[in-house]
Amino acid sequence: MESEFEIEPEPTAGASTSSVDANALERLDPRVVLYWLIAGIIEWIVLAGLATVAVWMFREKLPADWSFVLYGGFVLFGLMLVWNLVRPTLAYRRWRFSIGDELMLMRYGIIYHEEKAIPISRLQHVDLTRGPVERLFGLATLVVFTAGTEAASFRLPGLAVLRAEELRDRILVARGDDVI
Amino acid sequence: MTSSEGPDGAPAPDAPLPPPLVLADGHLHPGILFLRFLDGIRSSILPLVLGLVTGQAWLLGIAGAGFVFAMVYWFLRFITFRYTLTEDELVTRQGLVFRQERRIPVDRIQDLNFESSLLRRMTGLVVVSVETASSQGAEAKLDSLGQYAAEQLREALHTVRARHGHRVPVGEEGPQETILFRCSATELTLLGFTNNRVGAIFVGVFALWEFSNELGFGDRVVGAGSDLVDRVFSLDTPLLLVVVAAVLFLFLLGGWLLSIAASFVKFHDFTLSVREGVLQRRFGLITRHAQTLPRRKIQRVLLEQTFLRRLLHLVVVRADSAGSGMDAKEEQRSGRDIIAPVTQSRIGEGLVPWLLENLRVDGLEFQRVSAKVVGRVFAEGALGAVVLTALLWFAIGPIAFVALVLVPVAWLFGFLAYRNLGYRELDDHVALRWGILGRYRSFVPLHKVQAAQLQAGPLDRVFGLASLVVYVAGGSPTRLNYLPRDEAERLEYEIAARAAKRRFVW
Repeated sequence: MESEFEIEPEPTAGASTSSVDANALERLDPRVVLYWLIAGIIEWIVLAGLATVAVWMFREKLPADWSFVLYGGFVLFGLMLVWNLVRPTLAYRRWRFSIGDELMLMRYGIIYHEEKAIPISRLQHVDLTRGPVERLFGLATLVVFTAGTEAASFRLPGLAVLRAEELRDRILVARGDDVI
Repeated sequence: MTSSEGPDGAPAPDAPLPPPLVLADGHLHPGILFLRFLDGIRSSILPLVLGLVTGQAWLLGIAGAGFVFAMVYWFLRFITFRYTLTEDELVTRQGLVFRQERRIPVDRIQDLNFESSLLRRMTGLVVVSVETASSQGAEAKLDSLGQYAAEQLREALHTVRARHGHRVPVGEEGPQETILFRCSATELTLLGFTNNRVGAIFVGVFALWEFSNELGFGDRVVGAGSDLVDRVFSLDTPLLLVVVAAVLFLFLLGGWLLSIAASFVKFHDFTLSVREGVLQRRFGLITRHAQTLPRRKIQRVLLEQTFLRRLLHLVVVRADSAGSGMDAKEEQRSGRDIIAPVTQSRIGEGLVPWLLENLRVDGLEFQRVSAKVVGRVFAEGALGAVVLTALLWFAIGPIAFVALVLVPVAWLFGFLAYRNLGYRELDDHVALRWGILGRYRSFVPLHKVQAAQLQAGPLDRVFGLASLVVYVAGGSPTRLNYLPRDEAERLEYEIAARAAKRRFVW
């Protein structure tokens, strides 16, 4: 607490950054495609069901010529279904991550590309979460938290449970007791 | 909790612990009951008046019940609240039904902040908030103590901390306090002048009209208004223009006067000083604030110049500290972070080394990035203008083409964005600069960086650009848009990798 901060020697400042190459990056467990697919379809069914119920309930209050609403709805939900069917594959093809000794890297996003680099020593705590459908496929999501109030948690989905636990332990080891 | 974690904490004795020595204790000052009484009256006055006007008895009932409930609550709180300072910790206890006890180890207490509003000052009361290093704002609030009791508590705390081996003098007395900055009346006037509060007047007028409508004489107001409008519009064109111009001018003038007054009320006699690495700010006309900010808690420093301020070579200096995020109260947030409400650019830049070690920013060269920015901003603006034209076409016909005026404006904005965009990697910091009409500079110490991120939307990808986002533990993330993608990628990894080499301390 006495010194403001400590700087460890930085001998290979250039080398450590350029060591990030595509080969070192890991893919998600392929089962995640199926998981996302099912989650997407369930979401679609729920939304479509709600929309149908809403239209049914208000059928008498609708304007006389309301077929355009119906067709619009069909097109919208059709597009949504197509997107939900295509998205898991595309997302899987884009997703890459790596957890090294110092950095945690994530690269993902279909329309909006995103990349995150998080120093492991900054991680406050690590969560493993498993939703019902995820449990069905033996998958887990790793959620890591950094200090701060806004956007301080980062999610790494679609890991096989064993792998997720291994990664969590590796993070805890790499992090050490650096953080107050 | 009893054995202190501090490096110089006293070793815990093996013998059974003697009862802790009480150094200071007490209750809240009775004067607070009077203030709560006034509060209670104030909050029940609206239903009371409404009830009397409309003759609805239940509103009176609500007002009375609310008042009684509040009084009982505050009275119980007053008689049950007790604070105790021992060798090791500050303990607060309160509550009759739900007993609440809070223990704050002395080693973790940074300082006690005093604050008193006008009424409290008149009754000799102070709100004491307990500041700890890592908390989200104040850890505990004693609302309110008498001036003397508060001073005594602080005195006792400093004595204990000194005994624990902490270098205490953060309070009023102690060695050399250096005054870094004092906001002059000219600067406060400029602050108000460059704040845009004209919108607030319009909202105020609108709210007034809504209110009068609510009370049932909205029609009369509208009647008078339309009479006035009719009369004005029956004037000759030149005279009409003069009247309109005069009204606009009055609005502008009123807005300016209001915001100048507001800045005086808020930041009157703003003083920034430093002592032993702890910054202290004192400001306020009606509510007087005295706030401390330990230098090592600063997560990021911002130099903000909106368009008008940039023209006048003025700058606002802010420092985000851990826990000053969105969840803190708005008033607290905007107050906490301000280092200089407004000052000349040079002076503002000169303050930065006091906030972040080893950082000098006057004359700092920023590295420009690719001019592809111009194309990117232009494309977005032009697309927006075309879409707007198409939409307006349905509403107003061919006049919609006027919207295409925005196309050259988009190009201009792109050019300006390019001129402002830049970054600089320093030994211990990253400096980022951006803006279109205004100019914003952000300085982030590498040892405070929590994460770095790159984002590229579809339009960004067409131009081979990306945004860089740097996260720290306070405030909102710093975002630099429109960097070339490979450069953004390199920066992202480099910032994170260099941050990983440094120890993070709150």
